[in-house]
Amino acid sequence: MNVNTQMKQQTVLSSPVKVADNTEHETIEFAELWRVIRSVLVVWAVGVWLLLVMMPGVQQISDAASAMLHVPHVLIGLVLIGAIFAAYNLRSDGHMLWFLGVLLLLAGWM
Amino acid sequence: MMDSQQNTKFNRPAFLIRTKSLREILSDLRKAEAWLMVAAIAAFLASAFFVVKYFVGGEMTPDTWTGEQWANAFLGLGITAVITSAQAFLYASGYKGHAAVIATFIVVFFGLFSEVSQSMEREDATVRTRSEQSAVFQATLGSISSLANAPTYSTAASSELARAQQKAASIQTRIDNKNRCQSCEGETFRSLRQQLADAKGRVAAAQARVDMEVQANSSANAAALQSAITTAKALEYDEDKHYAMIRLLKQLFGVTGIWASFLFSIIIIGTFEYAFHFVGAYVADHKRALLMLGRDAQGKRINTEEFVTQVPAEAALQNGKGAIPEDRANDLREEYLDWVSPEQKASPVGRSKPAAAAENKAQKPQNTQSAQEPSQPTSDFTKKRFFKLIYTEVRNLILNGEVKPTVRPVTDAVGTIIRRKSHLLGIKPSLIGKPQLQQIAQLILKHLEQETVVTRNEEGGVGKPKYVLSPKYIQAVNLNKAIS
Repeated sequence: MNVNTQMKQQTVLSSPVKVADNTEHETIEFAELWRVIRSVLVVWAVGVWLLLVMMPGVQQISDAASAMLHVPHVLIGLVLIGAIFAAYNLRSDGHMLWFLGVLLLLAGWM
Repeated sequence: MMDSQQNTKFNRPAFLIRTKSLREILSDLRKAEAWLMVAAIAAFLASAFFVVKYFVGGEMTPDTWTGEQWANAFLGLGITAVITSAQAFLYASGYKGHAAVIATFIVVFFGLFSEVSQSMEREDATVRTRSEQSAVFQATLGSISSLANAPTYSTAASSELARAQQKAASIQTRIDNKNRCQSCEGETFRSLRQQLADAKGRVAAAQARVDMEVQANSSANAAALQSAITTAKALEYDEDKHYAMIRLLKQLFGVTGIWASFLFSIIIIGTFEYAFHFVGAYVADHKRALLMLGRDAQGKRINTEEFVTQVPAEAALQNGKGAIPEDRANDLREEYLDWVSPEQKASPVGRSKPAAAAENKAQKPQNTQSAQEPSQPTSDFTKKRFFKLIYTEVRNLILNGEVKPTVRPVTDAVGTIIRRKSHLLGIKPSLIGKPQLQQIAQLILKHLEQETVVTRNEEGGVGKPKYVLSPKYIQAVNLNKAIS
């Protein structure tokens, strides 16, 4: 209860200018954070491809027929990585998240 | 976070020019071309698996193929290679319009169909392998083999039959001995024949019992074997061995495993095809950006009038900002300045390429009109200045009352100024269309409004001019007219 009361008092007494400043600051912080997250997501996608798409794909290859079944999907994962890079460069976050989601589906499937 | 729809609407080549230097554009183009090559190879392999398998009409076991099958396989590979490369070139070309849409539809349909088939084949093979490796399936296979090799009658019946047959044989031997030597056998013929008849009766009874057991066991084994085979057949492709997401789709939509597998493949391959197109469009945008900068795909300048005049015209439309990034390398800046102000090329001031300037000078002899113009040595003739030059002239014309501050007269004035100063601006007036002139005029009027030279016409309405001269300048114009 004490905590809540203090918070109310703080909110009431604080300057509206300061409140506006804080909101803007939070927005800027989120933009900065998102920039970092985008880079992390790209690195993560490369890791996912290496560990969950390429390695299982290669492990399942035993002859020409199995190679024909699994190699295209390993390359499809690689193309998704390329598309993620392109989306990252174009700052097209919607595309980037979409490609990343499908890469994860592919990783689970492999 | 940007929305995907937002990104598809804005002009990507212009965005690339604004945000990247020439070197970055070239470097990204090289990388994007490599990714496009990977995408083309992936699409080729995925399609080739299905097409070759279909053309060969059998299993993917090349070591058992006949000559005809090999020929069909090469035909399938050729067709796939042509369609996949066409797809890559189409995406990288950046062509638009109905023909491009139809071509895209054809290649995407081929790709989707063959790649989804290949993808489903993979899921099929995975489920089959998982099913065959399951312990239950292995146990069922074991029971089939044991049932197939199981004896059809008991050892007791077979022993009894053997004993009866042995007894009958020994009595028959004693009868044969008595026939050869009467005194060697104590028992009479009659007694021996009686014993032989009894023994044969026991043999017949034992044989009947064995036959009965064989018949009973055979029908029971056959039923068990049939049941085991049916179970094994069901377990050979167990739909519970699908990938979890496919099982989720199966339960979600209440469809069979094959349909769920199809839906899953559509998601993966549909996104792959879109990614292929996305990377191709990325390449096309970079090439377009280079073209807008008057460069070819290798980054070399294209020395044609078409490209030389294109950039200033586009750039002048946007507040004097535009196609020249601020972080451009110095050499590019110099080249650009040579572009927009060829008269400065001849001047040795502020130019690092006197030889090139001299060459240019030799190619374009000094125009008499340009010699008369007061040519100030400007070291920085940017697009902003290009706009400012026209703006200043139009502003003076409006303030002198020579041009009305409405779009049509200002458009005409802009056209006249550009034609008159084309040699100074280094552009070809015929390549600047009326819509572009109109946009420049609208931009000038907007700036004049900000400068309060003109104001919005309060008597707005259909047929009324949008802007009028500010009251403070109307008096000055009237005074000028009275004086003249």
